Amino acid sequence: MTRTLTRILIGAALLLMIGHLIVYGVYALSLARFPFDYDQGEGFELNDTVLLSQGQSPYRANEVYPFYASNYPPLYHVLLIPFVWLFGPAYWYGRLFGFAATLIAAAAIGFAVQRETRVRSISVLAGLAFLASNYIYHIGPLFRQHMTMVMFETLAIVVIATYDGTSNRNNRRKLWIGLLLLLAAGFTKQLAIVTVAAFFIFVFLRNPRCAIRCAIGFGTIAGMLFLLLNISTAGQWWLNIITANVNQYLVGQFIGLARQFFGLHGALFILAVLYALYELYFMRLSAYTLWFGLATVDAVLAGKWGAGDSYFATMIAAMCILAGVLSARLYSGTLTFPKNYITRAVSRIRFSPDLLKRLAPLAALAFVLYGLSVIHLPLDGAGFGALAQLLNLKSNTKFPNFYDSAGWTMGYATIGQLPSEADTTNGWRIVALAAADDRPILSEEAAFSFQAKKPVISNPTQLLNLYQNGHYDPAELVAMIKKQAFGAVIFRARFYPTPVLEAVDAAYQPIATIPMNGYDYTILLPRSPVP
Amino acid sequence: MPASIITKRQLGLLFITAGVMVIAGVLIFDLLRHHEFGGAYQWAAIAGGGLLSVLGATLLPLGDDPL
Repeated sequence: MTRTLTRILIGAALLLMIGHLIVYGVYALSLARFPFDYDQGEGFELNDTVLLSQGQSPYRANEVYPFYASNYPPLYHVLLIPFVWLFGPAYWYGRLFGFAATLIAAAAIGFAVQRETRVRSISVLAGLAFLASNYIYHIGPLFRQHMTMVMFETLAIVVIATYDGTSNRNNRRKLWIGLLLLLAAGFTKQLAIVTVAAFFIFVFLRNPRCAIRCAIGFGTIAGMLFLLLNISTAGQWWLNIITANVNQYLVGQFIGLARQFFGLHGALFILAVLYALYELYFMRLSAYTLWFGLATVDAVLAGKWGAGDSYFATMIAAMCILAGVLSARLYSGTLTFPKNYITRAVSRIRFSPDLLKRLAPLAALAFVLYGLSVIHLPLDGAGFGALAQLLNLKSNTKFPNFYDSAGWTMGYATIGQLPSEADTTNGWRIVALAAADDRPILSEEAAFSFQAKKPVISNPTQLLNLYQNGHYDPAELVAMIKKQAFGAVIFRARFYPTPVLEAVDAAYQPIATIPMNGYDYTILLPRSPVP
Repeated sequence: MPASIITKRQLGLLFITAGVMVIAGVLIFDLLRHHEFGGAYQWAAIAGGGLLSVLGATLLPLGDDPL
């Protein structure tokens, strides 16, 4: 009876997760066709890729024309270079690459649970649960490096998880592959540092001498690469990768995101914490538990200005593994409780496999609850309209055709809807206005420069971060604006340093406001005559 | 298999030390800076430090079990 109930609940959870997967696939393909920035900053990552494909460094001085520098490490962009050579600057390949990275991470999560438990249905469920998260859905199919980092992190932890500390060929291979994946994660995005820590702590607990040797080797290679990049860019690497990312911390943003995260992922988070506690008191700590613990602490960085829900992605991957392992072990009755003071204290309760199996439906129910908590759905097209009507879902976002159970809190990206034909048409209207003049444009998003065949000028948030920290003098950019050296200025959120905004307002006048993807883009042309 | 040099008792001691340091740090920092103690974040930090210490204490009886 218990087993049948568990199977029914697992089946229901699987149906929900497959539904989420279909929505995710439609969203990814829809974004791949959209030729403009969908999320602010995508175009600058494309620009990094283009610069690297031309043998140019994206780590350059922000104070001289074109006032542009990247604030991310280069690996994701380097991997996309062949696509630039083949297809020129475009968004689709970076977005599909990010989407593929999430699928690989999900497969690795499923593989990890299967290897630990041999319960295939729950292994599949754990992998799909990762893709079902509103946060993963949000950022997966973007021209962004974050999910590629999470993929490398997940693969590194899954590879090292079965390392037992003995010195043999198999373990050496795991170490080498794991270290390479860690290096790849770190040079995709700086945030991977927490996974590096989890990896080395795990190896240290299994074989301290080996861990110290590996850490010295890894630190030397990573440090030399870091130093080489810093020297070859005359210090711009450090300024743009490290200094520019030290931003104000907003406690309110973190609290809002933490509440939202728990509301959406709470069911699986509780399972993951329970399994972590089980390991803490009854087993040796696994790589997954160490990873989950450190990634949970690291998620606190989501409160940083410019950070957000994506900072929970690594923890979500670890959470899905632990929740899957606990559920599968309850289902198969393979949880064991060695004698210690806790089992002695509760000795009146027998920890028999049968008793624990009775808890298996609760774990399966947690997956069902999670599947219901994270619902996000377009409200029209591709059969979604009928489903939305059936579920009585109405828009609760700024987009009339998108429902997101997450609601909104500061730091949560307002994206997720499918771009419409009107969005694409309006994007081309903005390009037409920008391309009417031979001069370059100053645009808050790079897509309009790419589509108008003009150089990408400035990385606004980078300039703003550095300016607020006293590391950027906008004098040269302001002088060019005053001379009306740009044929048009395009604002979306006015994320430029104040002197730049003041200079633009004095020398340019707004001539149109065009909506795209839920944001109003203001196009400004030079005032005549120059004031 | 090489034995872990870290035991659950040692992790417990580490958690207790870290928890006490958090509590002491918040108290000292707040008293030095504001000459008084209070605020939701301060209380949250103290609660977190206390929780960590309690968790550490529950690990002490596990003795030399490897981590």
